[in-house]
Formats: sequence, C-alpha cells, structure tokens
Amino acid sequence: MSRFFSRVLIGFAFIIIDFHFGIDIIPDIIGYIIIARAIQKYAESKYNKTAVLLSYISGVISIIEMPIIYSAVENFPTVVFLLYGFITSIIQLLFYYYIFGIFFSFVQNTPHVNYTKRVKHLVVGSLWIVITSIYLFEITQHIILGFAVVIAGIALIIGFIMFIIYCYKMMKYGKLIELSEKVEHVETT
Amino acid sequence: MSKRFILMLAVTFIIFTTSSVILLQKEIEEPIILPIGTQALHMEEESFINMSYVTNHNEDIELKSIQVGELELVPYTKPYHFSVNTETEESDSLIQSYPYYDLHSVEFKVNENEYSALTAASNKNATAFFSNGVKQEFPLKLEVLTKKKEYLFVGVQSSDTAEGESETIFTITEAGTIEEIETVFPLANIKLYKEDKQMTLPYNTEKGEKLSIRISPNYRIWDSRYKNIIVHGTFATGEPFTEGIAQYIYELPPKKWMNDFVMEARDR
Repeated sequence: MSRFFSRVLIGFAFIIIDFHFGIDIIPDIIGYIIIARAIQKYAESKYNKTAVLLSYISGVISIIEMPIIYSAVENFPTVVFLLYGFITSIIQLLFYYYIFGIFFSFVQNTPHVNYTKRVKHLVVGSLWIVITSIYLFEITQHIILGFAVVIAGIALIIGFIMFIIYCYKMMKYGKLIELSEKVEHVETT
Repeated sequence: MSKRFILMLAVTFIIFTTSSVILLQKEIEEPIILPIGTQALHMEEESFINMSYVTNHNEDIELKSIQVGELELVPYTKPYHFSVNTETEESDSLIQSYPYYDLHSVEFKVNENEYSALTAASNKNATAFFSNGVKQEFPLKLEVLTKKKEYLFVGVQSSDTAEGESETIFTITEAGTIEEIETVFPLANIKLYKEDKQMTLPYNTEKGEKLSIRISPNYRIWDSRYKNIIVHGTFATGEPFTEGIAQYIYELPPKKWMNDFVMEARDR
C-alpha cells in the first residue's frame, strides 16, 4: 500500500510540475507511466485494467499537448478540434474516477473510506464542473458561467492539493500497517 | 462505473454536442474585415490606419500586413508592450471576445512621406494578408487633413444624451457650410444638431455657433484613438475644408450588433 501511494505521489508530481521550454522538461508521460506501473505492480481491483489503459492514453495526450505539437492540432478542422478537446477531457475525468476506484480497494474496511470519498468528490466533481461549464461558457460567454469555471478551477486546485496530502497520508498509513504486520509476524514466530 | 458518474458523463456529452452544433453553425470560414470609412491622415502628426476584423472565438489569426497601392504596411507595435509568457499571451490584436467570435483591431502607422503614395491609392481596393494565408481585398478611402485653418473647435467632449446617444459638442470657428459628415464606422446613424433640433445638410454655419453631432447607441464609434468623425464643407470664402473630430467614448459593439454583422457578412 505504502509503495503504491508513494509511486502515485511521484507520478503525480511529474504530471503537475511543468517546466516548459517548448517541451516539458519534466514530461507528464513519465508520471503516467509510473502510475500505470504502480497499479500493475501493487493494486488488485476490478479497475486495474481500465486505469492502466487510461493512464497510458493520458500520457500520449500529454505529449500531443506540448505546445510544439499542439499548434498542429489547433489547425485541424473545427469538428476534429472540438472532438479532440472533448475526448481528452473525458479521458482525464475517467482517469481520476478510476484512480479513486483503485484507492477504494486499498481503504476498504479501514477508517479512511469517508476521507477517500471526500477527496474523490472534490477532484472528480470540480473537474467535471470545469469541463461541462466551459462548453456552456463557450456558446453563451455568460459571466455567471465564467465565474462558475473560475470557482470550479479553484476547487480543482484545492482538490489536487488534497489529492497530494491524501496520497502522502495513505503512504504513511500503509507503512504503519506494514510495520504492525511485521510486529505481529515476529510475535507469532 | 456508478450510475451517478454515467449520468454526469451523459450531461457533459449532451452539453458538448449542443454547443458544438451551435459553434459549427456560427463558424465563419475566413476573418471578416469590418468596413472602414474614410481614414484621416494628419499633416505634422502621427497618423494611423485602423482596421478591425472578426474571427471565430479563440481562432489565432493575425492581420500580418496590408498592401495599399505599392506600399506594404505592417501592424504598429506599441513601444511599451512586452510580454513575459508568450505561451499564454492572448493575441495582441484581440480587443473583445463575444459568443462565437473575437473582435480584433490593428493599427498601421503611416509616415508623412508615404501620404502621397497612399492617397494616390485611395478609393481603390487594398489587400489584407492574414496569418492563416487568407488574402482579402477591401475598400480603403484616405484623406489628408491639414491644420492650416481650423473650421471648428471641440470644447466639450463626448457625453451621453437622454436617448442614449453619444453626443459631441463643438463650436464653429470660421463661417462656412457643412456639406457632409461621415465616420470611420459605416452605417452609423450620425446626425447634426443645434440646440436639440436636428439640422439637415448642407447647413450654413456662422462663426461662434455651437453645434453637436450625435450617434445612435447601436452604431457608436467604439475606438477612441482616432479622429473618427470627419466633417466636409466649404469656408465662406469657397475654400473647401475637411475636419476631424475625436470621439472619446470607448465602447465596443454590442453582442447583438456583432452577431447581426457576421450573419449579414456571411450571407453576402
């Protein structure tokens, strides 16, 4: 458990830290690969396969979204560009949804289920509001929708901070569990 | 996947599909240049040709240059303008975003030694070159204004009338006749007033007479940087004059105007 969450933390650091010089010198794809590998190695849940697939797809998208390549995408016909935007947004949403699915498999029967739910609602919920209200704002340019996008954006940033804290706490909790298991093992032997 | 999450995805999909259909219906194939009225070039002053154009929302198209007769002019970059982050920077020319469209405005600085070449090409079509490779011809009328003799004096700047019109009051400094009033904003409902009474053109004026020009709200002149009302006429001596009046109201075209304008331009 602790190893899984520590890998997720490292992977997430790659995803959120951006140093752009035409290309991202801390590429997001490495983060997605670390997360995918962590799922394959340490997680056991029905969400594994899909989460790994979504993680790799997200990695590919992160390459396309580097400014140097993205300028080519921008010049695609509007229909293609709109579809691309929609698909990438939905993949991001699914990625976090499935990641939390895996998190739940770790915290089942522990006191951390409600905490996991709260972080999930904040991250997935605010990401959903951002994506959905952006489409509405695009056609209406209504100030209230613009405001909703900003508020949801702030909530998403808070959600990501909570996500980091959550992973850190779970890593520590995992270590504690492992330690107590070892102690128990020693005692019984 | 939980039912609630599937519902959330379905809502996003419906909103995305609806907005995409609307966006595609509203999409314009090429930038649309807003019609330009007479542009004034001032002797012994810096002069600019101001051009505005509409693109689809978030479409990164820049007006690279214009060809007027033999002269090629490139947009004037303000000396104080600098940018730290070129990646997130909005285009320099963007002045207002509307639903579906963006309004851009670009100015071209003209040197006095280019006036003769430009006025020779005036009343003919000029060509605009956009960054996406689109080339468009547009009518351009230029007039050189001299500062020899002032016909009018703008003492009170623009204000709003009770009817919501924009009004500029001025004093006639030399007797003469006002024959024509035009603006850089075509189709503007522009009227000459004296003490709340509308005057018809040509209108004979006396020295010291106070007059005003009113523009209806939907067609306000929305770029304050230019002498954007031009008054044509003759002095009492028979000598012709052309005077520019600056409107200091910075107002952008309303949403409805922009939508109607694009729809009309698309149908043409």
